[in-house]
Amino acid sequence: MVAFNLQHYNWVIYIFLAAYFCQLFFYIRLFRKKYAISIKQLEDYYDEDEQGRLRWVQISFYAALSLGIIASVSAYFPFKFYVVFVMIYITFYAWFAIRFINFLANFDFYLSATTNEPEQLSSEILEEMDSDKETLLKKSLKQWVLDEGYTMGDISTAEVAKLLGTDLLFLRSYFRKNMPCDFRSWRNELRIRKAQELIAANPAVSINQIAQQVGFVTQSNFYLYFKKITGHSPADYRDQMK
Amino acid sequence: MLQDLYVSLTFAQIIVLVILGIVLLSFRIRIEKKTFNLRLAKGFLALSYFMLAVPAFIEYFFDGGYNIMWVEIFTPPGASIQSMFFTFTFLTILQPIFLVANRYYYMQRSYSGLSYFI
Repeated sequence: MVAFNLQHYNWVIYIFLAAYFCQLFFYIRLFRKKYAISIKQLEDYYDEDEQGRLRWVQISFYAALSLGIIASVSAYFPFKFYVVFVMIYITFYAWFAIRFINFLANFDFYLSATTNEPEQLSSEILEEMDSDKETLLKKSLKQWVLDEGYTMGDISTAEVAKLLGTDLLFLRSYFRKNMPCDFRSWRNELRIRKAQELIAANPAVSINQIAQQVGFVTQSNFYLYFKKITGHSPADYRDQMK
Repeated sequence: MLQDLYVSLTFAQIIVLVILGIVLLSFRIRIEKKTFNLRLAKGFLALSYFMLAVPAFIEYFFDGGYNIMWVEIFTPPGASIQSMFFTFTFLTILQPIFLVANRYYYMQRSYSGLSYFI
């Protein structure tokens, strides 16, 4: 009886590896495409920069990809490197399971945005905008600003439109026609102005707390817009106030 | 010494992966049409955890905890299947209704016991 010798089957492993790399190439292309679409859908739905929220998905994908590639050639590593690699991939699997469960606990945030049919602004709608409706919306917007409705985080623009007594299409048309910027930029500016007020009133409060208070769910967005609108970082601005 | 560490690591790997697989399986997602892919992804992910524990289990309990041959045999097909499961999970996170099962299968499973597990 001839003993099983893996060396005789190396060619099978090489074919597997070639097929595996083709498979990974296909997955990378698909992932990149869907990632871009998903970001766009989230941003359209919430009118916020949502890159920060999905960054963990991108990081996890490339980490899993790297681990897969390393695993496929790991048998050729010196043994001590293989031991380290095992430790790394167990850590990754544990981290990813926790991250995925966190995602599942909040998946409604993503589900409502990605399963929502995009609405198109047609020229007919723009023409149909009647002035009474515009006046009403203008009033509602004023009241909304006075009530600081812009400080509500994690709320879709469609929901804001509903609160203002109109619909998403009309709200967007209104901004396109009457305002110098779109709804997202306008709301962000209101939030940053409010943040400036809060910092000036109480410089001891933490920046993260201020960001949450004015409706920014992602800290990085708060820092980004603060710098863009005021020309200073929130910390610099606070130092100036002190 | 390194070999002892590897044997312990293999055992720890089995425990960790099985526990995580069970945790994933036992997490409930409300049953509705839009969440079908999410439930499927959760099931696939749990399966990939169990799948990774299998070679470690064989290596630990049937081969004294150390035989690099098992790594050479299981890794290429294992990595391929794992990448498929993980990519499905990532795509489902990004686009929960992108990968939709065919209508027949969907209708079948809606009324089957399978929905309990995914």
